[in-house]
Amino acid sequence: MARLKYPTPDELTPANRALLEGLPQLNIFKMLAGSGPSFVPFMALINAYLNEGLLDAELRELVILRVGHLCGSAYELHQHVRVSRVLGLSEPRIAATSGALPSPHFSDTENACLALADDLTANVKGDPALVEAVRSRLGDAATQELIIIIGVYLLVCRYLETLGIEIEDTALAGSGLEEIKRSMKSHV
Amino acid sequence: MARIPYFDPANATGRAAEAYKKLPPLNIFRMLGHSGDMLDAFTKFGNAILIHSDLDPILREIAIVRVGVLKGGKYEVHQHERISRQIGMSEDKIKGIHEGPNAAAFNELEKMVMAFTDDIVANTRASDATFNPLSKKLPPKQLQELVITIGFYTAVCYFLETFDVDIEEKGKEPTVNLSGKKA
Repeated sequence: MARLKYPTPDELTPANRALLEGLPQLNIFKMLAGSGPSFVPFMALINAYLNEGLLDAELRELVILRVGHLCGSAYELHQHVRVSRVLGLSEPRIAATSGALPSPHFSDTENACLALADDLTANVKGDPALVEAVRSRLGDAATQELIIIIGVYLLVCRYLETLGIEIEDTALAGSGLEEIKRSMKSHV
Repeated sequence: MARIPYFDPANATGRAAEAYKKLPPLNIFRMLGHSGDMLDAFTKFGNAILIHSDLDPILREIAIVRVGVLKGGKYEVHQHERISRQIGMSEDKIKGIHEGPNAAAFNELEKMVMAFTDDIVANTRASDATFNPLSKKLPPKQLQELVITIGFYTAVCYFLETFDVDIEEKGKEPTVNLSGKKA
């Protein structure tokens, strides 16, 4: 049971109501729509790396799954396992995100990025060798994007778990990424 | 010393260039420029939290500085203690943020916000012990804002600390108007 009531459409601002209508029907968005002026820019940030980001999509999802395991968020994992499958990630690669690193299921770059996710979550300040391992492979722009994504999913997990957002009874058919992209078009 | 050179805002293009026109010349924003359009998305989200929240600015700053203290985010603590003073927080309260939820300078609600912040940072999910009392005091929207603030400012710490963003020299700091609701 969610700890807060999901807002009803008439409790939402017109902008938030309009955005929510176009998004995939997920409980996280239903709740977030009640957060007021944060909702649109939050979705714009999510859209920026999901649909316009520099990182390889498989790498991005592996990192998101890793953060979900580190924080213990069943909802975050549920949604991003679905996205990962739609993107074509294999089951052994998805499963390996909860295991020891380096994993033979990941490339060197993927292993380096997941190791940095572990390090940031544990220590905040990335170890110089781990940061350099990522930077030398991805460059500055994508490294910054990666660090932002790790941080945003920590935020997402805290939000989901603290508010007790429930997994939906019916799973989305697709990744939902296209719907997010389309609904953000009129908001940027 | 920052671990990588700062981005030169003069070289920004597209949405990042637009974003720089409105951002104060702080080192965090200069560093973020490497991420291109993400600069725009990240700072707009931060702006919504800082300027357009209903949450009492004092409670908001207590949560932000506390996250910085817990996570060892020197730059974040520096900037947000500055903002805390700007919005009139007492020195005793600022000191209290470094001490803990039971510091004498806090009122009951502030103590609850401190304990809630500590709980989320340590455990991801706030326990009933810190969630329930606060949910009786804050409307749902403000409670959401608080959770988002705590999460976002941890993400900011990851970024600041990992790139070792330097605190600006004394006297060269731009004034930042973040005193509360939209102007």
